Amino acid sequence: MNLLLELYSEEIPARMQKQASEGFRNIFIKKFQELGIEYEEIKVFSGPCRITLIAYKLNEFISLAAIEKKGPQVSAPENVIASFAKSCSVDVKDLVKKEISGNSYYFYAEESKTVKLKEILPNLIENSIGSYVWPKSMYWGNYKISWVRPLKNILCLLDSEILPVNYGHLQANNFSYGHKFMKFEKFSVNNPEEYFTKLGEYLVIADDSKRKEMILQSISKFSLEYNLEANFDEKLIDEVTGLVEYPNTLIANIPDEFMHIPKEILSCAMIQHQKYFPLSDKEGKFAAKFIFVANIISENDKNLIKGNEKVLAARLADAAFFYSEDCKKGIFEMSEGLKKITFHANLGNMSEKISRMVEISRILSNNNPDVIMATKLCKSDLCSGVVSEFPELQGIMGSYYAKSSNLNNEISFAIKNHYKPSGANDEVATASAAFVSIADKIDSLVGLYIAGERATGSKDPYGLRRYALGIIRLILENNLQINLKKLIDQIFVLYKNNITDNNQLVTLKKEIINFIEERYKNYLNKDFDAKLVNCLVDLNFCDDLTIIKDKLLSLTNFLQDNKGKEFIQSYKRVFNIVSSSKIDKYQEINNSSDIYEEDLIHIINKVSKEAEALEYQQLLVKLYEINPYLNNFFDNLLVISDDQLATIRRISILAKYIKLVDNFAKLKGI
Amino acid sequence: MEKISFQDIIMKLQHFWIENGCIILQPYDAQVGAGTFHPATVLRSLGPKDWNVAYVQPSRRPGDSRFGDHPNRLQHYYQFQVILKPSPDNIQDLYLRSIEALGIDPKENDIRFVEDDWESPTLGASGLGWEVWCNGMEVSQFTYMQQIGGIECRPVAGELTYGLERLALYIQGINNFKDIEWSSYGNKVSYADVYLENERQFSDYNLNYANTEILLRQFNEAEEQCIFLIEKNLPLAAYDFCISSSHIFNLLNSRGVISVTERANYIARVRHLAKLCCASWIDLGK
Repeated sequence: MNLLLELYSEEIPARMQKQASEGFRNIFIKKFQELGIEYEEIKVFSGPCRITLIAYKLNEFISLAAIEKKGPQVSAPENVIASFAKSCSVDVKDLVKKEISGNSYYFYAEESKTVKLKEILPNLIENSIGSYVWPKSMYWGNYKISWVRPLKNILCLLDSEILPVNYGHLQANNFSYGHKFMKFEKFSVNNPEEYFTKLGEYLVIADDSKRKEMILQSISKFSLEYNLEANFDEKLIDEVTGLVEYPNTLIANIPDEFMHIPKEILSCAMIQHQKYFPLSDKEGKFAAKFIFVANIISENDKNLIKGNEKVLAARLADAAFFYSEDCKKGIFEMSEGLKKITFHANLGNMSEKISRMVEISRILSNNNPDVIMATKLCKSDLCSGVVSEFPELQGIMGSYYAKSSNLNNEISFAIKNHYKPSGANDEVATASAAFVSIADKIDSLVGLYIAGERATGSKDPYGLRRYALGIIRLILENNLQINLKKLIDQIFVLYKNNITDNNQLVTLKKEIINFIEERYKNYLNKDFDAKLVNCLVDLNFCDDLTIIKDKLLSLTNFLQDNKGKEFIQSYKRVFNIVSSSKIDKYQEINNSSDIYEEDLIHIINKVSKEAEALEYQQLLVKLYEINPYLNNFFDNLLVISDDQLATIRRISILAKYIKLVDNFAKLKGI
Repeated sequence: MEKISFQDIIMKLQHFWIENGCIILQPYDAQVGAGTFHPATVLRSLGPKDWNVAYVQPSRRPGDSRFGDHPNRLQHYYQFQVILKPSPDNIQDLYLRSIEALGIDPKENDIRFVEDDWESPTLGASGLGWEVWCNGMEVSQFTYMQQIGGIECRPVAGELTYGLERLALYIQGINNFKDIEWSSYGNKVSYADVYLENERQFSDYNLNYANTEILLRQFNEAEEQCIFLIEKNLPLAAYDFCISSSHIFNLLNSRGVISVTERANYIARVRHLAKLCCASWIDLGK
């Protein structure tokens, strides 16, 4: 048997459709599994007005397994027993009693039975519809149910029989509706097999993969015809597929006069705002043409094309006007406007922020003039007309204005990329842009802490975590040796006019360092064992983040080796003995009459001295040299002996070993 | 498509909605940012009573002041607002027929309902719905109001907001608001004839001459008067001052004297007034 379920509603947001398809599919798979309903396949299709589910080759009869549900004790209060009976949909008298370990319990028992699929499906379907949670849902009219947009009709057929599915005020039937604009009529569907064809007759392509295919083919066709290329995100195609019930892909023109404006503006206006597909020639330059997908086929496609051309032209005219005004003004004059933009109510305006950032950039880049100039100008585009229309073009427009004001490529590159990384998955800025990016982020991070802003478990409205993570990634991926602690101290001096409580300075600085440390550990945990990360990050990490990462690599590799495994075993043994001994005061032992003690002390001291000069990797190997001596020590001596003095001595020696190792890796953390 | 004049667009829309169960109200006589601020929307969308109205609402957005130089941006423009409560099952169909009545045939023009949820932080209001696109251009906002003043709307009101200038530009096939034919009877009168000087003078006021000290004082006074009237159980009178405070905030904002964090604070104060008015209105059960 085949099952067809169509949920017909008003336009579902395009961005929610795919997720809904998957969500519904998973819900049904799970519920079918629970009841042992077998099927060949379940497919879910989505579109602006419909979510359609088809389940293929279901069995007419289902055998339900025997059920035994344990309830409360027989001695439990009446209402508890009653509510258990209710939850099993029976009366209390239908429950059976069973003894378990001397206590009597109520049980609900049902023998295995065979039922007709059509008897259990309606309930299953009702529950399934109700269990999908839309990202946003709403109420309408006087109705009690909520849905992503008003739900108008439920079609539900098991083969050719309408299933009695009830959801809120809606009762399932065998009707569907045609294309809202081209053929909005009600018609009946007789069985699941004819669904797609029938809908097709009413100008609805219910299968979203088919609609997508149609659009892609049309785009290919136009590309070939005009010798152009369409470069677009998968996301745009999916969104556009979700905006039409019947795709009519058309090509239109962009007036030549707008083709000189920066391609990012063209892109933003076309893709983000209008959901059009830009085209480019073989060299990658934007072509004066674009593709869009309409939801109707009309006798007068020219009308659709003209209309869309007009809209785009209006947007681009705006953008072109702003762009030329902005270029005329020039990036330096634009910067004057920064005084009027607030950074934070308690931290002054953007102009003041830029001043601080310039100082920070100076320190980071060692007075590199390009970096300093880029820093001075990196936020100026916030005062531009284009950015006020297209805020997503911050940074990018700045680089254009810099070029237009005859600044060099290095500077415009730095301005363009100084926001990176803006998300955890965004790429990291490099070269001069990296300095500006760090300056920006660390100025914001420190300033916002001074202003009292924090990130909590659930909220981080100022993006403090993102700033910290960005700084960390910038340092590591650009391999910059920056002493964060020192830098933060310097930044506090820059903020001296904003600091109200000088007594809190030390605590505040520590808070910031700790915050960065947390993010640093999190970041390293992705690639390294969290326990090892903990061992190394405690040691003055902020002197140089890059060193820690190298050390982690060495330590990880070392411990995977046989030697390393032995080493860690030994260490643990020593650690356990030392920490469980009741001795807390250790003696400074440098020689002993006992040969094993003497050898061990000697090697510990030797390694201590030599270790200072070694690379971390070699250092670890050097530490391993102590192992044979430890083995001898343990093989031949009783650490905890009747001789009190010997015990103290031996524990002290072992403690010295621990101390030595911990200098290089706080392994006591493991 | 027949080119109809600006005033004919208004008349046809009014006519259509009369025929479809609405009464025609007149614009609210206070300075508001959108048709939604009219008490006919904010207050009447709350509570259980049916309410079907349509009205033109002159709206002011000081932030959009362009001295009349921008082809389609004005600091003062007209919205046509329709409230249908409870939202009828055929509301989308009614909307489509209403624009058909203006000569926009959905069979010849690509009409799309594109996700756009509406939120007004100052009114503590939100709704789900769409921007309605006509060949790629937004011409209306279509919203199912879910809450106003922090109070849930039951039943839900459907709100249709038409951008009259946008529609006129589209219907008349032109690009600049100044060229909109306001009337086609007798001597042709253009939008510029009627409103260009307004745009110029008010843009100057909004951006350069609005006295911020007076405005700040007026904001505080409006807030005070609103709260006082709520205590006297006069939410309709109180609401006037809520609207007033919102408009003053918009003016202060366009003068550039409100910082980012201060903005949040001002919005919260207006929202507080809106909530008081809505709650008081509901309590009165009118």
